[in-house]
Amino acid sequence: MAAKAVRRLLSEYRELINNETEGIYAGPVSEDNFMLWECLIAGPPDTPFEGGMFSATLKFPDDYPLSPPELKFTCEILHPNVYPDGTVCISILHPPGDDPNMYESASERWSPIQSVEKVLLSVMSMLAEPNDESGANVDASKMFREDRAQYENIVRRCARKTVGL
Amino acid sequence: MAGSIGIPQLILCAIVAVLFYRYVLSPSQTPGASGSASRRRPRAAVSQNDIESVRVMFPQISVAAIRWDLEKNGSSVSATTEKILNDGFLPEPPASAVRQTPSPLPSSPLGGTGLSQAPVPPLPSSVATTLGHSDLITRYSLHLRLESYRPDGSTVQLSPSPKKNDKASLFIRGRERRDLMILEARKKMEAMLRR
Repeated sequence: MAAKAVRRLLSEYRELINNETEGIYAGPVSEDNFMLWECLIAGPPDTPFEGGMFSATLKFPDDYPLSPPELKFTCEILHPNVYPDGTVCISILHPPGDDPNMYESASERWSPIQSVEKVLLSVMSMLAEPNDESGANVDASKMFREDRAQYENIVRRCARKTVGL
Repeated sequence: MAGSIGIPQLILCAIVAVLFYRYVLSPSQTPGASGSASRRRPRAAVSQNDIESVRVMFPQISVAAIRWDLEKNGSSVSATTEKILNDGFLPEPPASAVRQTPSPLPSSPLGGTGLSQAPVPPLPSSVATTLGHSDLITRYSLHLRLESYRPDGSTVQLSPSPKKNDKASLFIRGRERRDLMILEARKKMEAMLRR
């Protein structure tokens, strides 16, 4: 089963390297483990994330692409849809069968026709437009709603930190 | 009543005695039976190869820290890798452990960015963070390349040779793309802050 996952991941990797998508990078952490990737997501322009390069890990299950990977930021980040441990909560990372939040339509959720590239692009648009309904980080949601200036301030600081400034 | 002690009881007593001796009096002879036993275990030999393979990925982590973590987890390179990725760092070994591993390479303290670091108040606890996340320049040891990097690409020739698709070439190109993205983002951010 895992061999199938590795084959698929190798072809996704080849695709990502040969057809670069602006603002995202993803690849296995080491050559002998294709089930753990590191990735970079550029902060979208015209948002407080702009200029930051946000790093995350993607952990793939043995039955990938049947089940979705898990995406976890490995940098400081404040966002309503990112749990305090860095795990990202968006519909594309949820298997179609379970809908913990009861608002996602099946088409938005994970299926084998999705890909690493689509996941990363979804995360990028999530950064630009937080989903207020899914409160993975309740404090961040509250700050986003009630004190936007402070939220943006902190996000900007996180963005600077990602590139060591 | 004494007559009621038969052979089954004697056997039971013997078993209890053996178990008592084995698990209570000499825990160090039961490999992996408990945490205290594994801690007392002599340092497992960690091969230089394993240390190198972690170090290649994370040059900013000291050899001593890598060796110590590998010793603790039984030379599992993937466990150590995952730990570094999750935490952003590895704890340095205690002084007693360092003394046995001479000449650990120092983790690169390159910080010569020329930008003043004003003290900033700590981020609120709602910020997703595990303390110790390092920035990307530090994580991938890009300080030296940062000085020569020009965003217009004049110093960089992106794969002039025909693109190869074998695994090794993919990795080389992938890593290069990753580093360039970081350097470019850094330069952009420097420009943004100057405005």
